[in-house]
Amino acid sequence: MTAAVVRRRFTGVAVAAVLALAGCGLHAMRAHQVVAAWLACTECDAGQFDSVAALGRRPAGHAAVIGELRAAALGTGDSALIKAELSASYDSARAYALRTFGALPAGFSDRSDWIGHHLGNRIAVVQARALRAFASVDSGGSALHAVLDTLAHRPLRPDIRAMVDSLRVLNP
Amino acid sequence: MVAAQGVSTLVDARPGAGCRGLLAVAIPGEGVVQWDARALPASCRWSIAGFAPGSGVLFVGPFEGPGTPSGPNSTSLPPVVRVPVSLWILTDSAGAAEVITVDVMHASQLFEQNRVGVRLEIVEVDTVYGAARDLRADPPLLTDGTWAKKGSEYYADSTINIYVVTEIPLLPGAHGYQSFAASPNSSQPSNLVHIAYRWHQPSTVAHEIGHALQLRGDGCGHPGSGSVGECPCIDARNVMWDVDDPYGARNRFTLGQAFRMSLDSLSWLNRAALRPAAPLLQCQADCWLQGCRLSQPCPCIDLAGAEAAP
Repeated sequence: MTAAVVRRRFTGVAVAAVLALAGCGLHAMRAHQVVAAWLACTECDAGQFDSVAALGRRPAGHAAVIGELRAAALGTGDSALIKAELSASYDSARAYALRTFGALPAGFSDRSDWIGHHLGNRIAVVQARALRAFASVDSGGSALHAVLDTLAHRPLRPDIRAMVDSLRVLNP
Repeated sequence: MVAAQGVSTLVDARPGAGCRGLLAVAIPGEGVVQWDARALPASCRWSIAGFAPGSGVLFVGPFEGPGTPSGPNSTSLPPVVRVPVSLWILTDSAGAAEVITVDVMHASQLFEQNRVGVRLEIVEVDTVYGAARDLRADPPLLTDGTWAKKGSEYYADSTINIYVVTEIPLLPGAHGYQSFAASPNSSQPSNLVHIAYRWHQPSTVAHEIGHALQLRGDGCGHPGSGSVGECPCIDARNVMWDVDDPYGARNRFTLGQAFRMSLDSLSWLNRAALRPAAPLLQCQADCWLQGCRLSQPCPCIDLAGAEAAP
């Protein structure tokens, strides 16, 4: 084999490696986009779930989607930051109501109840959507099994606990 | 040209456009909008829109030519429009009415501070657990409002009806949904809003009422969803952005959205005749700003410069 042939083969391998890495990067970026859109959509009637499922079932996108969903299912977000934002929203709405109407409307929620409810929703909606998509793209898979095992030992909202329990039955 | 803070002068002078102009004016408090249109091109047909926190949206015109009406002019902003809201609590979760009451105040604050000219007032709170079972048993009715109208005791003609359900069966995991007046394919927004108590976020009520006020269709009702018809003029801080950032970024409406919610004939404000003696528009003309080619001009109109969030 001549030096020129070796050089050409090396170059070919290097180009293939770069293209493969670039492809992985693109899949990771695409997976991040579609999973983020699904986890936080409002009405979710624009095919957000289907996009995650379609990409996650393709061999090229499967690992990247699984990685995103695992992080979402197991993460709890920055709850201190979310609490601070909710706290500011509550105080602002309260001050607005007092300023505008002269008194709080009847039944205006207690501060800690309102913040607790929305904090719970923020965490639960991500967990529920991540698990639903996970079950769709990795049914019976070891990655889903491991995530469910981890979640089973964590404190969870009752409806999320029920979801985890039923998925564990389906993914023993 | 206009003695007010935050002025955006928008003139479409493209060949064949007929030179339409709009002076979009935002002023810091209640008061008087002043303008002087002498600088506009002579052939322009133009209007004035005025916006301020705590006031209704002003719209006057159209006028022809730069001197009509002559010289500098001024007019007062109309009062804020009061929108009655009924809360129907169909979830058996404890504390739902109280939490949603705060959410409605949060929404009202977003509408007022962003100069939409709308104030939400809760006039009725009713807890109807039994009806929740009917709703779950017949979920298709949820999308067209038939259920709500059939059971007249759970529906008020003259208010925005917010149904607080545990979950929306047809859209599992959705935060909320604004139902249609006649059918799921209808382009007319209704006064029926559903909130999924298990999943909703602080800005969900404002988002769904935004739909009821005609922020919908052609993608601009849902920028950020990745669907066809993205609106390049609206970003993730916008209340109508589809992706609700977990750190609470959705707190803005553009002036154009305020304009559309207030003036479009299909907005619930106008279908319910809540704005007295006001001119109506159908926001169907092409958008003529910055390459935004959607059939919705209004969402693209905003203050010319950067502005602090309310």
